Amino acid sequence: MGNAYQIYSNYLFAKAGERGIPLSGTFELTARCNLDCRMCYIHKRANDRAVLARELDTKTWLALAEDCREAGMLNLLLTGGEPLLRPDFREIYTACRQMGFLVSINSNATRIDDEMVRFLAADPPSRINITLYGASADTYAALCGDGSAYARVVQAILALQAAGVLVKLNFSNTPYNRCDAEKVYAFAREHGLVVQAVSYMFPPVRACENGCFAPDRMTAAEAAYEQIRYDRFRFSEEELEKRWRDQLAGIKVTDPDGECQELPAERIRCRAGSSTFWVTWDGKMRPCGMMTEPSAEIAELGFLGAWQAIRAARQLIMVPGKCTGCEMRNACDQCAALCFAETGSFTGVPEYMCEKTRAYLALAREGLAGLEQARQKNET
Amino acid sequence: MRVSKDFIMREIAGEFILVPTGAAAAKFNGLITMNEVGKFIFQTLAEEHTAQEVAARITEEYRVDAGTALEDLEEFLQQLRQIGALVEDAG
Repeated sequence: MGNAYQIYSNYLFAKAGERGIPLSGTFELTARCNLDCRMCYIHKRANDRAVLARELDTKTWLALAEDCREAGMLNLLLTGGEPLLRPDFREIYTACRQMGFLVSINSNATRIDDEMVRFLAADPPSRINITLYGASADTYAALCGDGSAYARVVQAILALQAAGVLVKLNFSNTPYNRCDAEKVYAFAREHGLVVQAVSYMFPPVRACENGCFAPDRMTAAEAAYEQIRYDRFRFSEEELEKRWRDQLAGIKVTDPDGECQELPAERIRCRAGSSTFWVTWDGKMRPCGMMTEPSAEIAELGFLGAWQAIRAARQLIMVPGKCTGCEMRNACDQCAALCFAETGSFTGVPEYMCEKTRAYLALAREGLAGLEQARQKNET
Repeated sequence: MRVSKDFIMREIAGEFILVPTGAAAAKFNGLITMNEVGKFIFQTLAEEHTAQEVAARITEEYRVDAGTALEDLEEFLQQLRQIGALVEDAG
């Protein structure tokens, strides 16, 4: 899907935002996962019976999907936890496709065997986003607690690709796998796959709902370094130079691989709660998966009632005043969810992100100097 | 001819959109947008009709002459053919 699709999609989102239509939704089918990743923001074990008992059942998800269809939802992301842990995954997926949704899937791919590849290839999702946590069994063992997963994941990625299913790789930089970043990018390039790397990790607010610090993420300076490394991978020197110059001049640059498309507004800037929503594994609607507030119980309010409550609550969210006047604001990935996750308040300044942005801009300045030096060397 | 059941029509935010599923989605990853007349044609072709029959219905519905209706229809049908949304008898 190319540029024309993106333009149309942006047009549709703008229309949906104006009309209050929930165009895009996420069903977090489970909080459980068969991996045990140290930095996970939700982090429930596969055999957690207490969590399992509270998960919405098949009938409830499908009734919700019908309500979403009626309300005008087009894009649906099925995620988790690991959504393929659910024995009814296929039933839910097929029903949602038959309702006319463009369905994408987030998965760790450890449970995608040949049969699942055939199933998905017969009615492909718009895209399957697979998180590749590293480039070796050792890294998977260190980060995810399961070294054997690595080989299965690589096999699944290649099998899906061979079967014509569109695969996108996600890479989450952490202290345990950043050593593999270059190898993951090289793997993506070798196989012609898009890779979206993130270097910022949310505190695990969903795992401990009152917000607690994540000890297993990189320092802000390390995160900035990894952001630069990813940018060097995905952009040409010419593109990089322009981006860095713009960012250092305080000009906003767009992220072609970013999922959160920002709107030019002073309050909450993304589509969350405007044309998109997230439903948690236990039936709460939230503007996005990284937010614990605002939250509306669908069982109590119904889908439309919950959507209206979320839309109204979103309007009241203010971003920190210090951030809106900050000279680094256009190079910063701050958002409402991030402020809340970092500080427990939407108006709290996320110091970690300030540090990361400062470090990123310093590295960009160094990078520009390096490019300039190389150019002078070539000229002489 | 008729339209393939693999394409599901949605009306979203005032837009008419075709979503491919099953084998159609395996060949075409994306969506198709249609105007009001496209929607009318697609709905008419949920059942078997000849191009002439569809063109006749268009002239009744939209007050255009038969020649223009048939010309526009053929253009739209060609687009449907390209994405595999049209089922036509070999004979």
